[in-house]
Amino acid sequence: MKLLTLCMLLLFGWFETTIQAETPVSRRPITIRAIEGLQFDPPRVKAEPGHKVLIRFINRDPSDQPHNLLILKPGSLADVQAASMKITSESEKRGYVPEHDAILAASKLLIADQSDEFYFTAPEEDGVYPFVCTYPGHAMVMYGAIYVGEKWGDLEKDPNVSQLAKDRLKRLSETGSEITRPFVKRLFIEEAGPAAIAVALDSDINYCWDAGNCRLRFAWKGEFLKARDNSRSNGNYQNVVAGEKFWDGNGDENTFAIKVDQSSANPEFKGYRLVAGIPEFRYLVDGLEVTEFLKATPVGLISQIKVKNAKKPIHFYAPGAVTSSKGTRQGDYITIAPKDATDFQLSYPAN
Amino acid sequence: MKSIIFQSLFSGLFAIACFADHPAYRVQSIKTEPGKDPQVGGLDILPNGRIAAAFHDGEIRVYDPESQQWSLFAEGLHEPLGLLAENDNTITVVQRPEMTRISDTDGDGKADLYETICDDFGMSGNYHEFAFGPVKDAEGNYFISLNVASNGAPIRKEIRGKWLELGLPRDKFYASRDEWKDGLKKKAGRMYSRVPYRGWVVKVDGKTGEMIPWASGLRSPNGLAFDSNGKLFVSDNQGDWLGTSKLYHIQKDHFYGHPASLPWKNGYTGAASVDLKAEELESLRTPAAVWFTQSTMANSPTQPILIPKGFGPFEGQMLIGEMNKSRIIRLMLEEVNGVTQGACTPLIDGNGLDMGINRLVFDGDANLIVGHSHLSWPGGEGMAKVSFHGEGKYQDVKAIHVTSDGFEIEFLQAIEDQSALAQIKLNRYTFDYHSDYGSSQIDKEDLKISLTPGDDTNKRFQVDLSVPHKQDFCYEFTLPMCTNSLLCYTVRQIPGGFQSVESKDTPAKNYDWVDLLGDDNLELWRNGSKTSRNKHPEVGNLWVVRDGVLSLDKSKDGRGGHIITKKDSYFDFELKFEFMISKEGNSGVKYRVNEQTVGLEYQVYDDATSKVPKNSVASLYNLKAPSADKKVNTPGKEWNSGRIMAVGNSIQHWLNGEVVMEIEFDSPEWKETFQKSKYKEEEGFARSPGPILLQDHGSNVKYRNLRIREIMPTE
Repeated sequence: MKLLTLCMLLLFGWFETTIQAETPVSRRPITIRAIEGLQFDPPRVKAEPGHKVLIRFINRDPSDQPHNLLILKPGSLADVQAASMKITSESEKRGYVPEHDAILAASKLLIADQSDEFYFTAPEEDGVYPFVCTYPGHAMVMYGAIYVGEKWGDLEKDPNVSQLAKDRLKRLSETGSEITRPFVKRLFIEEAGPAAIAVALDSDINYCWDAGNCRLRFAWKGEFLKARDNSRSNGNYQNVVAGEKFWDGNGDENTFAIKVDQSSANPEFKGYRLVAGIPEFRYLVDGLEVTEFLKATPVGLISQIKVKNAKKPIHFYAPGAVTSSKGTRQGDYITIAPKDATDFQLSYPAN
Repeated sequence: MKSIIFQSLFSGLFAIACFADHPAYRVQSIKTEPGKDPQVGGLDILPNGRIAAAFHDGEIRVYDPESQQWSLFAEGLHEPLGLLAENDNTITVVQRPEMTRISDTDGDGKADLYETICDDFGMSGNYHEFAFGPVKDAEGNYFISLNVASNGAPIRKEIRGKWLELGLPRDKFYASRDEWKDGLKKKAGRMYSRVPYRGWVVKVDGKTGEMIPWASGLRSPNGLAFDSNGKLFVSDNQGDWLGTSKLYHIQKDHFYGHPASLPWKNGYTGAASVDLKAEELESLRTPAAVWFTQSTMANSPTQPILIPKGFGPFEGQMLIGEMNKSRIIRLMLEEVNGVTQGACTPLIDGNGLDMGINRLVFDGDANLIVGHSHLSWPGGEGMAKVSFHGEGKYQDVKAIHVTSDGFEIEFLQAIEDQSALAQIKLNRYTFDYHSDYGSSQIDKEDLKISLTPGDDTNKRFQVDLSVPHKQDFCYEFTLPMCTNSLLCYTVRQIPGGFQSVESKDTPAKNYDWVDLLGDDNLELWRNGSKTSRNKHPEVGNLWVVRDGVLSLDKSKDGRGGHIITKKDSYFDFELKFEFMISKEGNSGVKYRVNEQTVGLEYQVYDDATSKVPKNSVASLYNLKAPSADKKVNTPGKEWNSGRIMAVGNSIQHWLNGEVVMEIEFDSPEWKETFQKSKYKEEEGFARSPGPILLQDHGSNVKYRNLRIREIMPTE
């Protein structure tokens, strides 16, 4: 009898090897971390049906909690959670992996900063395969799922993801709107050049200043930017303003703020200084040093511009309903005499 | 179905491969600020001992190791991917759009001044145009590296900088998403550089901020570092034109192989980079110092760093991070025949470390601070500290050197049981250079080796190969007695050099004029005589250069013989020279010559000696006569100017300012004249690159102003 079992095992073992040799292997490993607050990160991952995938499990929980990771058959989470509550004298030896036939794979029990890796062959059958930590007290809150061949829906409504993980990811996605004004952010943003700077000021006034062509691009009232979780972003995303634009300079990459006399030289951006958190931009045009400081008022945006040592009239690009403390409007430009260019103000009304 | 059964059957089996602690290094995590993005783009240590870290969310936060608290230094940056502490209050950072010097001028601990030091490089708005660095040289200049764009996305309608009008037109780059995916992206090139200096390492003058293009041919150079000798190293990532990931020794004006960046070279007149072929580019490129074999060693190497004293027995070597594995790799570099090359082996492999090892810095106590990242790729998060405690005795390779017939390996510990040496395995392979994404290991073979003790310490061993070394091969060792059993050595050069002329490693072309008699020495020359060159590789003493004039004086006793340039890869070039042939004298300037010194020749001759036109001065010797109205100055008295233009099939000889001979290889004229020449039996006659040869034909002769410039075949 024993011999027969052994033979069968050997035979199955041989089959196993044969099948493994044919199993496609996923190119990218899946990394799952145990993180602070009894959570897995990420709480849900995808795997191709029938593919062998390397699972890396790392305990990154700074609160010195041991964790394991068990992969389960679909629909068996509750059973295994219940089984994990039965602690026996054997439990510790088994790394707190309960005896249950729904367990497809299990990592070692890891203490902080240990890691483990193992191959998991995703079943051919599509399904949502839960994973869970069965260290005593963890199973009920610390779980997630491997989606094999299945699409996942809205995270908020996903019953396979623990509430703790949902809460964390929601917080992360909202960080975009959690700013303390004034706030400066260099970024990609729609309708500006690639070297743009977005600034949030008081009174819900916001503007975009383009360091590529050294000019105010547009201004808007309301929330700063549309919220988004950028933590897994490669930077391709173009940010979107969250409020209503009240001024837009339009133009293109060759539209510059200042023409000195008739020449339209490419300005040279030199950076900014924060004055009580609000940037004062500095740039050079035709050898002239210019500073531009934009403040919010309840009725819009006021830009204070200083051009040092101008010898010729300055033409400042300010289309639309912009008014100037000095000079005269000529089309999209306001022409300012050299003596007045040392300090003048433009007002951008927010209606 | 079957697999489910087997999965269930074997469900009792637990995963086994848990990483053990390293016997001599300890990995501990450093807690990043809760609730904030923990992906690190830049790391440095401030003079006050605090750790400055730039994060993916655009903040620079400073960590005090004593209080274990974080504080915000700067915010609002656009993907900062490197920083350098200037002093406690000033940090220079490279972010997507520029290099910025950020200072806290009012002493409140938070930056208030953001000065743009350099934004002279272009931005197309493509996400892949990351910017890395800076590192600072001994003179206070900065070096940064600029990623190319990826055709995974187009550009944005507005760009910064000049657009390169070569290849797919600009407006096609922001066509609809469908049009892009359905074909335009292919025409753009897998990785593209259409705004200035994408794919380059650039130098930024430390005083003026002026940007100086430094070296081209990079793809995704996410890491720069100087070694202890001031050599600059930059890593690059496997992909199109990169068979596997690499570490380059960066030298000014060198090209490293990815062609997208090439059109930004000053004076470039070649084709759009998508149309360039590997054959044309092969001889232009400087190969890597180290190959990181894909999947075996590393998939995405990141930042190199010099190991200080106190971090174990490897002071002076370098480490490099890796994104896709929980691995920090150690480098063992050496210079062989002027070429920097060497080995890589893991140092920390698993051992509780997360993946995504993006940034490294050593603190004042020689602890290695690690910053993790992933962005949209595989990787990790947070920070860690790796320290050497040296408690456990462990075995690894301390150093390795290539020898003319193998390697010399030095182990950390003596190997008492030398039967263990029999377990060492070695194989070698190389990688393709092509536009495809990555390369498999090609020409792979297992090698039989024998090990003999190098001294009586039982630490040093000579590894003898049973076969000759192969150039541009990766030698992969398996060393079971080591904690890290994997070690790869990239062989470019061996002591004594490779004899084969078929070497893939032809030196980089020099498009600038090279003075072949520069500084009144013959350092660029060697003996080219078939009979004596092996015995006497150096130039014979009858050849003397003084005040810019090279003379061969056959009236004296001594050794003459032909001389050839040490560089033997000239094919497309322009050679200018002046010559004075002695009365009734005979010499010549030969090119595209083979090992037997057979090739083309610009005849240098006193025409008074013979009346055969096709052997006369300025002829293509024995093939084609120069024009009859050529102007020749008096032999023995006056100088003549000569010029050879050899570009592809086209050959021109000039004499005293005029073209006197022109011929096209493979033209009917060529075929006819070749059949009538004494070379007609020579196979592959003048079809291969070779050195420039000056002939000793038994007569006195003088040459001066001998200068050569290589030409791109497309020029």
